[in-house]
Amino acid sequence: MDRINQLPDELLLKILAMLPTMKDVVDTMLLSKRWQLLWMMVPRIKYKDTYKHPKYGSFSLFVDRSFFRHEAPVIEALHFKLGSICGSEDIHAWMRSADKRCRLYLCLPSLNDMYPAGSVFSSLVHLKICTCETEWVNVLMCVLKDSPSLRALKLHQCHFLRSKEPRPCWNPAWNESSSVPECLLSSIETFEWVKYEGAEEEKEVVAFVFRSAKCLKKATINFHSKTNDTDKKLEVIKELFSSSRRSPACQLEFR
Amino acid sequence: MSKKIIFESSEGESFEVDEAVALECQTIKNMIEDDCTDGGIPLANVNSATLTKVIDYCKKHVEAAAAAEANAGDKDIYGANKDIELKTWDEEFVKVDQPLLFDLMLAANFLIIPGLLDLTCKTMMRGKTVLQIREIFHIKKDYTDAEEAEVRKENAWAFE
Repeated sequence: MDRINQLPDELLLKILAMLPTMKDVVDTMLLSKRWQLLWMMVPRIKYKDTYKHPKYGSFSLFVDRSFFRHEAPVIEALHFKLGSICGSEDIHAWMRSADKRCRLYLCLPSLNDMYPAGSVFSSLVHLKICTCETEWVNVLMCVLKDSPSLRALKLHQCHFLRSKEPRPCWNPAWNESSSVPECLLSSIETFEWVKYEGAEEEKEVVAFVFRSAKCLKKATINFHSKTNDTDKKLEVIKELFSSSRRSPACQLEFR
Repeated sequence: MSKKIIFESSEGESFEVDEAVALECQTIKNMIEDDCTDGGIPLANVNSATLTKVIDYCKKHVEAAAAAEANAGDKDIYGANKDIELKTWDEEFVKVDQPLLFDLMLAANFLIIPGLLDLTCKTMMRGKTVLQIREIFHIKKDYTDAEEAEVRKENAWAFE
């Protein structure tokens, strides 16, 4: 019995939204006539340029076509994991069209030219940045600067670290009050870190957020499970507790 | 003693659960708030096998949330490991045959249990090719060969 055919579109879209990437979603158009146009309404979009090892040209075309044909009125989440085969030109174009989305997830290598200068993500409310790339702090600072309405910021090491290359350094220029992004002053309410390891640049970022975020209500720090050393964890927690916080009402949670 | 709620499966079998467990289902939560749960809640479209699993899921998640709550006071630093434990439990939980997985998804949708709905939807088609999906779900291919060729041609960008 064809039970799946009796489901409403709403539930089928929920199933599609849970597939690993947009490639899997688009493939379903071959199932039957009902599925031919369904993929265009999927509420979450994920692109990953390492998935099933596409060739450069075909991946780029795939993102262009699928992204611009996509018709869902609301995109709950847009997820880019790029940088292994895509050029900066592609990334620029896609990031611009990401402007109208309220949730954005980025895992980009951020060689200086990867990020389109002059972007403004005025509708972006939820931002998640993956910390696996060596230069993730640069990406974070760029997007923060360009997202004036951001309310929730999440950092998460979603992928294995790319290499043993030195991790990015904190740029002291970011500490100057003139360079604090507007969203930290006026809109960010929640800050969450998943797989926090307590590395130098990570400490700097936490301290910076605590020091600058005016309306922060809740900060959650979730330790990386490989950080098993209890003493080290306690030390990090103590340090975080004693760091200065611009929003005194902010609730701190450690997991 | 905590209040009990009684569910009745499509076969007429009764299941008694703690109110806290029943509250995991948004639909039931609304009924409890409206005070219309006396004499049990008949679930005409959920069979006993599915209901047993649904209750297991809700119980586990209520317990996990309670444990997390209890530990939050001590600033427990092992919480992340507990999250992993629950995730592993979830993964084991959905290792069931396709018809039961399907029933679980429908029950989660009907009872409004967001976590279980996400979990079952995620497991439904993941890692399967179009051919496998069509076979597993008995989807009738209503394209003629010419139509399928046309779809592939029009969307060549998708299948390179």
